Amino acid sequence: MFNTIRKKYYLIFILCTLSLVAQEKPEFGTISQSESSFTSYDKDKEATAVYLSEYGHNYFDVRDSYIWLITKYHAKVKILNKDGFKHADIEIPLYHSKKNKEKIVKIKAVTHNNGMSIPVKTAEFYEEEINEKWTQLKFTFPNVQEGVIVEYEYEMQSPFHFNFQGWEFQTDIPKLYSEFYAEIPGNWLYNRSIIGSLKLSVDESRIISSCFKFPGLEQDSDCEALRYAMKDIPAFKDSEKYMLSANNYRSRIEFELSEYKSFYGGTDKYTKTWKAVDREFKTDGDLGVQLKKKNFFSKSVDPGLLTQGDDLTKAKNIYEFVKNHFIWNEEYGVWNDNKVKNAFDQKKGSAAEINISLINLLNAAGLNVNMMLLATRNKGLPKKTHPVMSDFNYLIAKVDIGEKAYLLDATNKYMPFGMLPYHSLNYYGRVMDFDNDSYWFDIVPEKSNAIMLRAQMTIDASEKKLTGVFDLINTGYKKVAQDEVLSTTKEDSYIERLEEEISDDFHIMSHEKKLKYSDEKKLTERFNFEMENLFQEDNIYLNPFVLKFFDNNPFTASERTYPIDFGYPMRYQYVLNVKIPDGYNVKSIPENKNFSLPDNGGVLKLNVSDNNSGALNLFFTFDLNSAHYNNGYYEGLKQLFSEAVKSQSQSLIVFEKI
Amino acid sequence: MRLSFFLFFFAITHIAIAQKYSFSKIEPSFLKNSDAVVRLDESTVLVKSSDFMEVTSKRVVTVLNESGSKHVNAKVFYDNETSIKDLEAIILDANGKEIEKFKEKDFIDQTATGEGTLYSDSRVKYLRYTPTKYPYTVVLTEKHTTSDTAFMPRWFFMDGYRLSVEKSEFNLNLPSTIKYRYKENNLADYNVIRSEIESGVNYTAVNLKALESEDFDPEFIEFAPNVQFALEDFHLKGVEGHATSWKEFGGWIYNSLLKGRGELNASTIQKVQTLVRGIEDPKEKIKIVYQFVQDNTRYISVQMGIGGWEPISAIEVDRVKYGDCKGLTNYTMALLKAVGIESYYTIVSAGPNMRSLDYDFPSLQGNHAFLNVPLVDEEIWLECTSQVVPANFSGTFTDNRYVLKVGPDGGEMVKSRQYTSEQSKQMTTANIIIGESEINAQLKIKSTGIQYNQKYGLSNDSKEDVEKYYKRHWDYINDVHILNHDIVNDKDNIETIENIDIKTSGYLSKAGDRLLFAPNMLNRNEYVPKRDKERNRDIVINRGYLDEDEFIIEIPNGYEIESSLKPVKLKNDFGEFEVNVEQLSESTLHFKRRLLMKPGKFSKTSYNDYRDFRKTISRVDASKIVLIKI
Repeated sequence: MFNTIRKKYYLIFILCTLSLVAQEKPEFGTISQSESSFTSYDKDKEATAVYLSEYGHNYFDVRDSYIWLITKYHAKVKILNKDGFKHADIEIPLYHSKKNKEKIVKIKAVTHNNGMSIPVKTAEFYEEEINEKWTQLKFTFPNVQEGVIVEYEYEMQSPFHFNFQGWEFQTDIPKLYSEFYAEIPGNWLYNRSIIGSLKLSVDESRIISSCFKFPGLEQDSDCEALRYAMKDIPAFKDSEKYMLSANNYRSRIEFELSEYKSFYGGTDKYTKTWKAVDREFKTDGDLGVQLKKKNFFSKSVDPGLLTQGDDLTKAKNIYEFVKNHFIWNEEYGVWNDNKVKNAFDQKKGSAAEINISLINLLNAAGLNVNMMLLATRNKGLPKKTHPVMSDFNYLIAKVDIGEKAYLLDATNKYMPFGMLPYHSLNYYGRVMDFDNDSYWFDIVPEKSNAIMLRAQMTIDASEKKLTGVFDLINTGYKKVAQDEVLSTTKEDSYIERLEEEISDDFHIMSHEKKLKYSDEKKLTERFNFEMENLFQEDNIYLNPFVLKFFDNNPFTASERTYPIDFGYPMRYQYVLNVKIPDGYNVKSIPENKNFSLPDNGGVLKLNVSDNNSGALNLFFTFDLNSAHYNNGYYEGLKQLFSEAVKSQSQSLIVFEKI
Repeated sequence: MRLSFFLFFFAITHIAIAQKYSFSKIEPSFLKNSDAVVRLDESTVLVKSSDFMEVTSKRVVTVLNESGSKHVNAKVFYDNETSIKDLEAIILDANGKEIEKFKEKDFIDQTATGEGTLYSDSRVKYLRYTPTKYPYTVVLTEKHTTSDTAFMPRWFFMDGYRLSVEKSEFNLNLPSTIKYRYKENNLADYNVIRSEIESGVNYTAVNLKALESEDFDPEFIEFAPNVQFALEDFHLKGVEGHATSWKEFGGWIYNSLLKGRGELNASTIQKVQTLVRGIEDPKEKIKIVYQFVQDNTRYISVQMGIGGWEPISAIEVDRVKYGDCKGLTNYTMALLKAVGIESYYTIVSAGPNMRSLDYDFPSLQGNHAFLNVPLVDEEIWLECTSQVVPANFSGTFTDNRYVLKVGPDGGEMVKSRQYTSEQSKQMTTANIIIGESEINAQLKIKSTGIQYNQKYGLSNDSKEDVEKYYKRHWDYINDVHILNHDIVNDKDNIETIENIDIKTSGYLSKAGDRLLFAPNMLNRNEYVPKRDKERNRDIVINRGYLDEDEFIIEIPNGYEIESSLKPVKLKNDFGEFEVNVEQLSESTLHFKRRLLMKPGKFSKTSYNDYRDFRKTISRVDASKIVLIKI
C-alpha cells in the first residue's frame, strides 16, 4: 500500500524534471580569484553589498532516534561600501514551542580581508529571546571594511517538519548565484509554489533511492532530490507608494507540508485539495467549532436583535451591535486559539473572534451567512492554484440577502455596513460554505469615495479679506477616515489643525455637522471662514483653491516596477462661487483643463466661468475611477496628479480695479 | 452577633477599596487638559548596603482616553543584576471595581535592546492591555531588588504632560551608616513636602494639575518637580565606587572602568606611528589617526553587564574592528597616545535637546562617550562612532552642553563646542532663468557649522535620497526636477559646497498676460509658530543660524515688471531679517536676503513678538512679483 502510493507521485515528479547545470558548491573558506577581485556590481551600481553565492540544503536525518529536519546554509557576501556594513550583521531566527526547539548545531563565520581570514569567536554569537515562540542567534563579522567578503555556514536542526523553510531568492541586495537543494523522503509531501517574475536557471528533480533509513525499519525510503537555482538576481526594491504587499512580487519558493506518511503506517493529511480542507473545517478544527456557538450567542443578546425587521434590517442591526460591543485588540488571530465566548464576555478580541461572533449572531438570526478567509493587503494574495492555508491570515463574514452579497468585518466602529476596512481590500477570499463546497469570492470595494468642497466666497477689497462658507462633504472611505478624526479629536483642536494646514491667515469662525445632508456613507460639515492678507495691489490676485486636497504628487519616480493600487476608487471635487468685488472687473481666469486616462480610468477637469450675475463659478474634479492600475498607467497617473497639484497651487483669478 | 459584625465590616472595607479609585472621586479640575490622572504613585527604596537595594512601588493611574494609556507605564526593566520579585496589575472600571488581573507571567517579556545594538542583556516585562472603555484604572504593584545602587532613582512627582497627580510619594530608607546626597529641583513651585523620618526621608506631593506642552518649551525635566539621589558608596554591575564630586566620579570611571584597557599590539602602534612619521603639527596627526579609525572600524554595540559602562579593550577593538561609543573612543585614545597625544574620554548626554550633565549633582548620567583632545591653543573634539564626520566637528548630537572629561586626575565638567549663529551659515547663490512656462536654476550652497550637520550626510547618499531630500526641502515647488547635484564635503574646512541644477514647470502662476512668482524660490522659511493662547513658559531656542541668499533672476523676453517686492529690514532680539530686490536691467533682478536667527531663552511674554517675526519672514518669503506682457 505504502509503496504503491509512493510510486505514483514519484512518477509525476519525474515527468516535470527539467535539468540544467548547477554551480558546484564551494568548500567553506575558499575564495576564488574572481570573487576576491570583484569590486563593483555592474548590473546595479547602487548595490551596497552583493551575495557572491548562497546555498541552502534541506534534508531529514535521524539523530538520537528522532527525525530532524536539517537546514544547512552557506553564504558569501561581498561588502561593497560602508552603507553595506549592515549586511555583516546576521540574525538567524529560531522557532520553539513549549517542549521543542530549533537549534543551531554548527556554525562558522569568517571575514576575508586581503588574504587574511578573521573568524567570529564562539563567545561572539549571541542568542536572544524575542518572545514566547522565537529566539534568534545574532552575530556580526570582525574586520569589516569596504571590499571584504563575509562568509558563514551553519546547520540548523529542527523538530518541526512543517517548518520546512522555502527559499528566498530575492532580498534587498543582489545575488550572483543562489541555490536551494532539498532531499525529501517520500513520506513527506509538500506543496510548493514559485513566486515572483524571475526565472529559475536550474530546476531539477530526481529520485535518490534508499536515501533515508529509519532505525528499526527494514524498508529504506526513496527521496526526491530538488535543486532550484537563480543567477544574477536583482535586489528587491519595495519602496513604491501605493503598492500591494511586496510578498506578491519577491522571488522565492514556498513549501507547505501537505501529507506525512508515518513509517509505522497511517497518513496525516495536512492540506491538499479544497475538498479536503472543507471537510476538515466542517468536522473539526478550532474555527469550525467556534462557528457553532449559535445558542450561546442567541442567549447573550436581546432577542429582538435576532428577530425584528426584514433580513437586511436584522443584518444591519447585528453588525452595528457587534461593532459596538467589541474592542478590537489589533490582532488578526485566524489560526490562534480562538475563544469567542470568552471574547464576547470580555468585550474585546481578535478580528477572528469578533467576526466569528458576528457570523454566529447572523446565523442565529436565520440569515444565510458564511465565513470568508482572506489575506490582508500587507500579507499578499492567497495562491489560487492549491490551498495554502498559511496564505490566509484574516476572516470576515459573507451574508447573502436576496440577490445581494455583503462582506462584513466588525472590527472598525466607523465602517458602514457592507464596507470592509482598508487592510481587507485584497482582491478576493475563499468562502467556506458549510453546506456546500467552498469557493473564491471577489472583494469589490465601495465605489464612491470622495472629498468634495462646495464653497461660496466674497472679497472685501477694502480690508484685503476673503469671507465665505464652505461645505466639506466626505463619502465612502473618506467619510470613515473623517469620522475617525472627528471622534478622536476635540472640536477646537480639529479646527486649529485645519487652520494650520491651510494658512496662518485662515480663520474658521464656525463649524457644524449638517446631519440633514449626511448618512451612513456621507458626512457634510459646514464652515464659515475668513482669510486675511489677500495678495492685492491695484489688482487682486486670488488663488481660488483656498482649500487644497493635497500639495504634492505622490508619484515622483521616473519609472514604476509594480502595479499601482489605491485600494478603492476616489474623487476630489471643488465647486466654488466667488463674487466679483464691487469696483473690480475680472481681468483673467485660469485656463480650462480636461485630461483623461484611457478606458475611463481617470479624469481631471477644471472649468472657470463668469455666470453673468456678478460671480465666477469654478468646477474642479479629479477622479480615479479604478482601485488598481497596471504599470502602463503610471505615466498617465503621474501626469494627472501633476495637473491636479498644479491646478490647486498655480491657478489665479485676477480682478482689476475699475 | 460577632460574625455578622465581621461580615459587615468586611463588606464595608471591600466597598471602600472598590470605590477608592472610582472615577467620580477625581476633582473635576484635575480632568482639565488631562489624558490621565495619577491617583497614587508611591515608591520606597530600601538600601541595605552599598550593593543591595530593594524598590517597592505602587502606581495607580486612571486613564481618561486613548492618549492617556501611555501614562500607565506598566513596565519593569531587568537584567542580570536586577531581579523582579513581584509584579501585578489590576484593572478597575470607572466605578473602581476590579475587572481584570494580570500576574507576572501575563506580562510580556522581551529584550530591551535598542535600535543599533547587536546584543544586550537588558530586558523588559510589560503589560499589554486593550481597554474596552474609558475611563479605566490600572493598579500596578511591583518590587525588585538590585545590586546596582548607582541607579538610585530620580523621582519625578509628575512624569509627563497632560497628566494630573493626586498623590506622589517617595521614601528613601537606609541605615545612617550609608551616606547619600540629594538634590531637589523645582519643588518650590509645586506642592511637595519633605519630611525626615527615622530611617531616611519622605517626599510627598499632592494635587498637581496637568501641564500642557508648548512649542519651544524648556525641557520637561527642567521645570518639573523632581528629586535626585545618589549614594556616596555605590555599586555598578559588580564594580564598587565612591563619589561626592564630579572630580571623584570621573576618577572612579578612570580607575575602575578605563585604566588598563588602552593597551595596543606593538604592530598596531608601529602602524599608526608610521602613518604620522615626519608630521609635526599635532592637529594634522590627530586628523590622520582619526581617519585611520574611521577607515578601519564601525559602530557595533554589545552591552552586557559592566560592558554597558566599561569599554571593550583597545586590543579587542583592534582585533574585531568594531565597537560601541565607549570602545571606539577608548581605542582612538589609545592610538593617539601611541603617537604622543594625550586625550580625554568624555561622557555626554547625547541628543539634539542639548541636555547638560547636572553640574551640581555628580551621579551616573549621560548616554554616550566621545573624545576631547586639548591642544595648546584649542580643543579638538572627536566623534569616534562615525565614519563620515570630519575630525573636530561637533554636531547637534554633542554640541554646547556640560560634559564630563575623565582622566587620571579625575573628572572635570567642561562645555562642549558651541557654534555661533554666524558660524552656522548657509550661503546660497543662484542664477534663475524664468521662462513662460518653465524655470531653470543653477545654484551653489555653502554650509558650515550646525548647517553643515544637516548636509554632510548627503555626500554619501544615493542620488535617489538626495532627490528626496531636495524635493522635501522645496515642497512648495511642484514638479521640481533635480537635474544635477554635486557635493564636495571639504573635511579640512568643515564645509559642504553643493552645485545643483534644477528645473520646474510647477512654480509660475499664469493669469492672462501676467506671470506671478515668488523670487525666493530656493530658501524659504515657511514655519509659523502656533497662534498664542496663554503662554506659560519661556521660549527656548537652542541653536541659531545665518542664511544668506543672492539670486540673479532673468525674466522672460517680452515681459516687464508690474509689481515687485518692497524692501524689508527687521531687527529684534530674535534675529535679523533683510530682503531686497533690485532691478539690474530690463530683464534682470537681483534678489538679496539675509536671515539671522539667534539662540537664547526669551521671556514668555515675548511669544507673540516671536510669532510675528516668524510670520513676517514666512509671508515675505512667499511674496510674489508680478510680470506683465509688454
